[in-house]
Amino acid sequence: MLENLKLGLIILLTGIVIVFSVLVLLIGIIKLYSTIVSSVQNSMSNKKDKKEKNESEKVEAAVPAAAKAEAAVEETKTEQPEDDGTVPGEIVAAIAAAIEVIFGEGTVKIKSIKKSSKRRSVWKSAGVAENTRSF
Amino acid sequence: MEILSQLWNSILGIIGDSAFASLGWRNYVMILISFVLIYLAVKKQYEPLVLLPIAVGMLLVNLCPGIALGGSTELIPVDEYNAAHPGEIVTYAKTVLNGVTYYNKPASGGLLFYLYQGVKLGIYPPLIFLGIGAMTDFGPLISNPKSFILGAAAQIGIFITFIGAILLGFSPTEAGAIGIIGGADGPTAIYVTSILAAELLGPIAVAAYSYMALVPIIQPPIMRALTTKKERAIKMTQLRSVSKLEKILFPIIVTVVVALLLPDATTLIGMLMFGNLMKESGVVDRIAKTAQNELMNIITIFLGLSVGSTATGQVFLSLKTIGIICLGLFAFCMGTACGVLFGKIMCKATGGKVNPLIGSAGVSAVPMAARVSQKVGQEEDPSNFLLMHAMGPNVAGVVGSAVAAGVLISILAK
Repeated sequence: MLENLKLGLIILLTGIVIVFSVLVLLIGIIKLYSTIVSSVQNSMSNKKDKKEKNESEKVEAAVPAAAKAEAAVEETKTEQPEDDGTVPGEIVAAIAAAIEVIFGEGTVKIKSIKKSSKRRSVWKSAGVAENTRSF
Repeated sequence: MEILSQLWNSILGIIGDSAFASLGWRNYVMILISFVLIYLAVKKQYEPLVLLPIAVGMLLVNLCPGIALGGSTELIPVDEYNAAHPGEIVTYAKTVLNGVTYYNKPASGGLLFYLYQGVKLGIYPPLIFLGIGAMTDFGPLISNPKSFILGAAAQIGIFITFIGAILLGFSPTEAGAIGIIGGADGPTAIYVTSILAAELLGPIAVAAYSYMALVPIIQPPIMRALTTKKERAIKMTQLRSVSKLEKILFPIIVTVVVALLLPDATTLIGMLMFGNLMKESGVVDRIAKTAQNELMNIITIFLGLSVGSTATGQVFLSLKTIGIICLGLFAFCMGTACGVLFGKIMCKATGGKVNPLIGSAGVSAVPMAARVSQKVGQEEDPSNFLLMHAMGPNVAGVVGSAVAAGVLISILAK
């Protein structure tokens, strides 16, 4: 009995010490990796924000407000090359106007317009031509 | 006349084989107890998912003890067998005893014997942990890792009860199995008991699940007694949001750390964290859902029935069972009290930023114990929402009880 009681005391102390040590260690590790993860994610999101800001500045430079767009297009009337990455002013104006019509005037702000990398396949083009040709 | 005599003999044979002839008074008492448990599960809805299969297992084994008996081998003299089965190609092994050759004819065991192998071999509880892991959100714990302290504090009851059980005359292995009831975690209690004192599985499982069902009744008086009105009304600041990456890294890190430090806890923690990784990774939705639902439900049925089948009258109706039920309640109360007391210490240490009521949720019983913290907190101030704060210690309690189980197994099972 006395021996069992001694074992009981040993288990009481060992148990408390080990359970607390393991869990306190986990606290430290979780705090550490949380700090690392959040700092890495912050720096990544900062980079992303910067990139987005740059892109939006580019588009804003290319995109005057929807109302001014048509006038601007008429004034310049210069054809922009299609391969320099920017979207021609007429297209921007058309897209902006279409969006304003759909969503309502002044409710949407266009940040960027990108060309879709997907080109229509020959079969799709044939289908579109078939369905849209004049009677 | 001969026909009548054969009819009479057949009736006598059936009566002789019936349960009426073979059952003792203990079995009948256990049948009544199983009825009470079925009533509690169905009418009062006390942990019905577990209590109902346990009660039915208990009922079946006491009506027909053979349903939980293992397979056996019958020795039949070869000549006798061949005479009874002429022309049969016999493949049984042979044994020679005193110059007579016998066939070893195997007889299969009862259904519950085979289902019980999942408990005996320690298969079901880790699979239940897999399902629990797939259902648990460790976010509140990751956003406030200090909750681990409360999860650890609530495990002190396990070790204090161990000494209590020793003083009541239980052997060290039995005392370890009884103490783990204080962890308020059914699968952990069954896992530890199956390793340390399998013969006590029935009473310990019934006590553990009963007290888990009674959390809303047992905990509040202790919580109120150990805290002041002012402490109960403390409002805690909102938890920070946790990123997906942190949630994915958590199960991996916990598994590695715990398995390296305490290999005996690897089975439970590994399964718990694997389930959680499946959930948080978001790439294996199909198997995560299976672990949460179908697998968990199937194992719960098997576990409940086979644990119930260990509660035969001869084992259950003894003074030991009364001792186990009293010590289990003591363990539970001590766990709750230690959690609240450490909550008070954290409250003082943080200058009143922690509500001590969340400490009681450190006993596992997810999510019941956290709900109790919320309820008692709202009694003081209806605008106080402690639930998410209490979920931190609550899930930390699951990890803590698995670690405590590992400690008991590593010391006592060797």
